[in-house]
Amino acid sequence: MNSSMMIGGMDSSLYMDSTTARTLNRSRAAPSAKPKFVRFTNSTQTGRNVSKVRWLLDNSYIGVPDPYASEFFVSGSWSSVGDENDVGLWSLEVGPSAKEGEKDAKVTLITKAIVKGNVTDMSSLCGDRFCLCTSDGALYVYKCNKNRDEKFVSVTQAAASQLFTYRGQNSSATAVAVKDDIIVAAGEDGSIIECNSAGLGVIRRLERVDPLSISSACFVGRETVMTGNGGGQLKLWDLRSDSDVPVQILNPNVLMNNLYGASSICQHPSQTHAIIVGYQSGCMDLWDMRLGPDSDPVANLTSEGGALSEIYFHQINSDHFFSCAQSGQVCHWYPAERLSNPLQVPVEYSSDLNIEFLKKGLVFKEVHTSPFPINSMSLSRNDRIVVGSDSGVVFCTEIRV
Amino acid sequence: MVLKSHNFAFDFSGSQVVVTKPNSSELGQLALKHFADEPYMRNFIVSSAEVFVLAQKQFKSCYPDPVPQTTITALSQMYRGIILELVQNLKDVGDLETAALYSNLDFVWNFCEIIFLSSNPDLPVLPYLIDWVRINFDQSSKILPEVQQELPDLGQQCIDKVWKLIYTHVFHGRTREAAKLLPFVNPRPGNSHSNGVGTSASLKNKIEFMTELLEKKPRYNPRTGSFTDFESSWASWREECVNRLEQRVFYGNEQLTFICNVLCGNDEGFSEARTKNLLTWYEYLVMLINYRFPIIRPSALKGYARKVVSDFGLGDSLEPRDIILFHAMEYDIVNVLKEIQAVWNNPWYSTHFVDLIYAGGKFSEVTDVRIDYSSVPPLRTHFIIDYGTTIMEHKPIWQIGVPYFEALEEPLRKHLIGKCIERINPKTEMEAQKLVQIAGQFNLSSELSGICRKVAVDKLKCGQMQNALLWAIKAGDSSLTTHIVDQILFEGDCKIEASLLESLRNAIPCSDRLVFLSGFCDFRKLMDKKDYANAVGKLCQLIKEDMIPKRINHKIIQHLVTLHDKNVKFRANETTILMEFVHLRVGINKIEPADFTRLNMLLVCNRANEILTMFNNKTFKQ
Repeated sequence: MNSSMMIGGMDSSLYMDSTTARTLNRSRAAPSAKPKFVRFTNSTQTGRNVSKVRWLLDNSYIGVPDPYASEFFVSGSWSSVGDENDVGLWSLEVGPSAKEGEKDAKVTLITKAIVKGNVTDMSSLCGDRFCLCTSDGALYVYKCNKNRDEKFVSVTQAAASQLFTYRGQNSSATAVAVKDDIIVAAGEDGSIIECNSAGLGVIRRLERVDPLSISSACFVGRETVMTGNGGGQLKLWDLRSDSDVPVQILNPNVLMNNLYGASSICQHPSQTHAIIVGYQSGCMDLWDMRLGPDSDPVANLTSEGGALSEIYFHQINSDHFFSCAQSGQVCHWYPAERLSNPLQVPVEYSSDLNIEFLKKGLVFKEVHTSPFPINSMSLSRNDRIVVGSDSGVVFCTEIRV
Repeated sequence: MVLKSHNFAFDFSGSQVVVTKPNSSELGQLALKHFADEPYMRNFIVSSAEVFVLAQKQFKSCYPDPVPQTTITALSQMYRGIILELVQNLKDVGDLETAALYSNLDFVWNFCEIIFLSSNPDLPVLPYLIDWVRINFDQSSKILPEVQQELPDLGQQCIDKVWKLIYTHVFHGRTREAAKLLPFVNPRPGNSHSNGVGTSASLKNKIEFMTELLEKKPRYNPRTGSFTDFESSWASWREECVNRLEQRVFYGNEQLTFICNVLCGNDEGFSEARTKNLLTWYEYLVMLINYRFPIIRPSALKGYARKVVSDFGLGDSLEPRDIILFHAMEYDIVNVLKEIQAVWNNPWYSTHFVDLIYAGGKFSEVTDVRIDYSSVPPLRTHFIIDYGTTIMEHKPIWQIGVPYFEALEEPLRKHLIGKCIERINPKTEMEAQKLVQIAGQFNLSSELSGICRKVAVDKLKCGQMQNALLWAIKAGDSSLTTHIVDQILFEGDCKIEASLLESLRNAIPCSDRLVFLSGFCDFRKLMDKKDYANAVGKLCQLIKEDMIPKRINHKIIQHLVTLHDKNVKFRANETTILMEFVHLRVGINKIEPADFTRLNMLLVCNRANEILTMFNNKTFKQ
């Protein structure tokens, strides 16, 4: 029996099902006793169902989160009348409030552009650019332009390419992943296409390689991409290889994730072989890619909310991660301060993943709740979160990890 | 989509409707161009839905008891906050007419809140009314900054303004605020506008007397105060006012005498008030109650209001909003909603307001007021359906309609949500997933399977057979699953990802074909691994269970033929099963002669081998 089985296996799991639920409930009842941290919150109505939000990459970031830094994010919408959707560029300005110890946050729409079809995924690129894919199967690169005062004023389309078509009909693109200047887009038809970000020239085309639709994609190495499909499988692709066959396939825990898609994949910032995957079932699995194709997840975590939309590790404090769900919850997950239940000690745990919550147990707090589905979130380097929902609201707040 | 009624209003689709409503000067002509997609309009819809969800949570947590009155009032104030935000946003975009319309809605909501939600039918209504006129008719925010600018030396014009403000405060019953302003009208020595030191000194005394009277006016706190205490302290305060007036304390100062007349509730003061800064009958009514009938209950309001209206000569020309107020005073919720629906033609108000009354359940126990509580639950249901459908019919915001239907009783809830999601046509898997989520949440199995089936058929058309299979299994549709599995078996070269099959195994009871496909894939997997012995074992199991469709027989034969030169040794019985399969089920004439020769050789060799082994064993034992 390999080490992952002990943790991830159905019987011996210490993080599964009821145990987890109990841990979670406890965390609600007795929130952690950290000193009170006054965060700013801002809710802004965009007027459109927000499908994606992403912070622009911040070139001026110097390593220490600045609570008063101005930041910019982009939003994409879906399901608008007439099938024309918005891509918005927004600024977040934070300043001290009249009340002592509090902050005022202002979110302003700088400009917006119209895009045909629903925005299905977005990703920020260097040089104030971002790319997005649509339900019409197109991939676009946009550039945010500054004026002489170094202020953003407009957004222009830098490149566009119709990537996904089948028998003359457009088929939906579903996910984009970015590594430096390379964009990988995946589609509902199971295709994976690698492009350069400059002109969207196709470098590699893996045509209909997944028999199911691909629902999420994430770079896990310079040339390797992990995709998740509608059946919850994870597949690792080597873009350098000539073969159309994935390097590795990770099958979901059938009992918990049967027939549910993998909606979001995130790689651990320092232990790059560890990935966390959010499923439509509401489960989150932590995988160790080194354990090989037939391995089980290292930990199978359940959340109380419905289908997970996105999941992200904190880039610096990587024992913390964040999730948002269709049930309207945005959660901050972090290791328990101390073991609250001795039964939780994973005695036989021997995976060499150095992840704190595997040892101590996991608790969470709700950062935000909405009665409506939350489709997307993004974490900035200044520890801000932006969240986009089907109610049309973009919600910004600050996090402390 | 335009709402049913023809007169105007909440048009989500964006067409402009202009309507003139008879007998309504203020609410009159309306040009409504509200798109639900305007951020401020969307904000209005979303925020109110959020409060609605909160109200339902409260209702559930308190059930079977009604939600406490303070909570209900707080929720009502949240709704009003949303209206006022909309008004501000409308002003910002320059739509002043509509802004005025919604500001009127707030005025009416506020009054209805007092009557139906916040006040107690057995206690004085006055404190609520004081708040109501303050919110709607207070001019301090306009005048005070002007006064502030001129300080310390106020010009005569400014002093007049301060007097006006003092009067308004007095009329509204906010005497303490009036007292605070009095020092501003006391001309200081040396002030160019004063008539001399003597006058100023005597005025100062008068002002002090008045300040004392104003500050002493008893206030009634409906939550903590005792009603009888209030009654007696009010009587003694009034007596003091009358004494001061009779003692001619304010003699010589027209303004203070007038105020004192009002405080005493004298006709003289009241009729003079109408010539001062008192503009509306609402304010007059509140003044009347303040200084003559401070202890009346909400149910008695109507009689006084009628009198005031007729004094104002408005009896025949009441505006729609006044009519609504009168219905409210009669506790006639049905007519209030009817009129509001006619004026605003938007189920927004009625839905949320009736829901609050329902949650408060206040009138179910009150017998001395004429409210027909039995009409509240059906009205609530009606308006929720109306509003929920209005929202759900607007494609981008259909999800915001869901919590409204969720608040209804079964089976209506399921039925409506089912009907509404049936009408949404998902174009992508993401859209389908959203519908699946809602259908799953409300156990709408037939709708859920309908959505999944539709996606499965779409995928089949795109040639994504395995994806179609996944959705067919999600739909729980065994015939479609069998159909797709057949396609995969007969047209798609039986290819299904072994790993995908893993995820599908759970759904196996769904279809016999899937069981076969699963077994056949295992067989192929073993063949690929060159684990022939186990592969044959798997195949024999499939044959024994009679799972193999006839059309697939030749494929099985093809696989068996490849074993002929692999030197595979069959286990006991396996040769017999395979021989029966070849001879009886497939039939020799359906197999290519060359294949049959090889197959026969394989089987005969194995049979011979078995006999030999058996023979050897027996010999050995002997």
